[in-house]
Amino acid sequence: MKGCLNENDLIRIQHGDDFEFAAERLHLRKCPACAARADELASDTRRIAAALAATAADSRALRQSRRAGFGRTAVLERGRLRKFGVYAGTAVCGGTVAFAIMMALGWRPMPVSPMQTARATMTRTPERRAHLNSDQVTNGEATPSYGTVSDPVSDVVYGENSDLDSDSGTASEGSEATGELLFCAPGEDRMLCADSGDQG
Amino acid sequence: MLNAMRNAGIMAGNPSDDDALYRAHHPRILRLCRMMLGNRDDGDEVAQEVFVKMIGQRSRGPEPANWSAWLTRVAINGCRDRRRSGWWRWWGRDGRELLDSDLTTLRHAEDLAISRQEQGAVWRRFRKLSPRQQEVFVLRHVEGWATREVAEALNLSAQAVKLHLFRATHRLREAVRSES
Repeated sequence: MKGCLNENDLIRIQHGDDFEFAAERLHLRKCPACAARADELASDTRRIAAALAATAADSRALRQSRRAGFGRTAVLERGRLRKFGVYAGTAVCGGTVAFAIMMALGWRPMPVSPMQTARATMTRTPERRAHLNSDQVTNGEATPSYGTVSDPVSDVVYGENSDLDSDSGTASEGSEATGELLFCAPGEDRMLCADSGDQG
Repeated sequence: MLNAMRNAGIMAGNPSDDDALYRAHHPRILRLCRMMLGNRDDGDEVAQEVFVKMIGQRSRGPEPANWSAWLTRVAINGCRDRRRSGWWRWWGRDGRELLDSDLTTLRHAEDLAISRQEQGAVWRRFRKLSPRQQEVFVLRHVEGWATREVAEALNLSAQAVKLHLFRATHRLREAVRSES
């Protein structure tokens, strides 16, 4: 073997088995410079291992200080809050995509008309609900029985007396239109209605 | 943790043996998992899974001849599975979090006159090594295993272990020298 060992040789010797690199090991025993460099390599390796172990070591003092206050908040911010952010972001993105798909497929949010509000108000009594289930069919098309408007604040329903029966609060088929207004309000067991003539 | 497992019916066998095994190996396995994953939370989770598997192994039997080697092997495999998961890749763990949070744990390193900058440089360079090089270096130089034991644990040839060690040592030493 010629000359001193280079770094690669030293690393190979360090990790080799005892029976390997016999000539290099013999040189190491004879050459103080190479022996010093081999010692330096071994020292560096120990320091690297110690640095790695220290970085990953479990520190009880650190954990206790985290439990005490600020550190715990930092842990929450780093760990759980970040995960929560990911989950929340995923949920928002999923909802947005679902909404976009529904819109692309033709779905539109339906505006609530005054007629629907009135019908919702009138279905509070069983009689009304039963009557609404038997909507009239005119000319082959389903049409609502009432031309009514409701006041949800006063819980009063307004309609023409041709459409609403004054006793039961239900529409009476075939009745003649008088042009007078009916005012209906829910009673204990039925709707109480009166036409505009009675109001005066 | 062991009490919780015992109450949940997971644990079988002699509890004192489980406790002894846990106390003897938990710090080392925890450190190993954190080192391999570069993240405190993930390392803690994998270390916990390792001891759950240990309890299962004890209840099923047969018990391994060397619990230290068995636990280390399970920990390495657990870290490898975690790194392979899509979640892990998407998250892009780089080990910065562990380094930043644990710079106060330098008592042992200070004995060897390692500065924080040097420790940071070593850790960053270590994270840039391939997973296999990390495993080999940690088992050989941090855990103090012989090359033959490392090869058996990782299902590698002795020559492959030496090659990984050579490359890892070369790169890590560059980091030490650049700082000093």
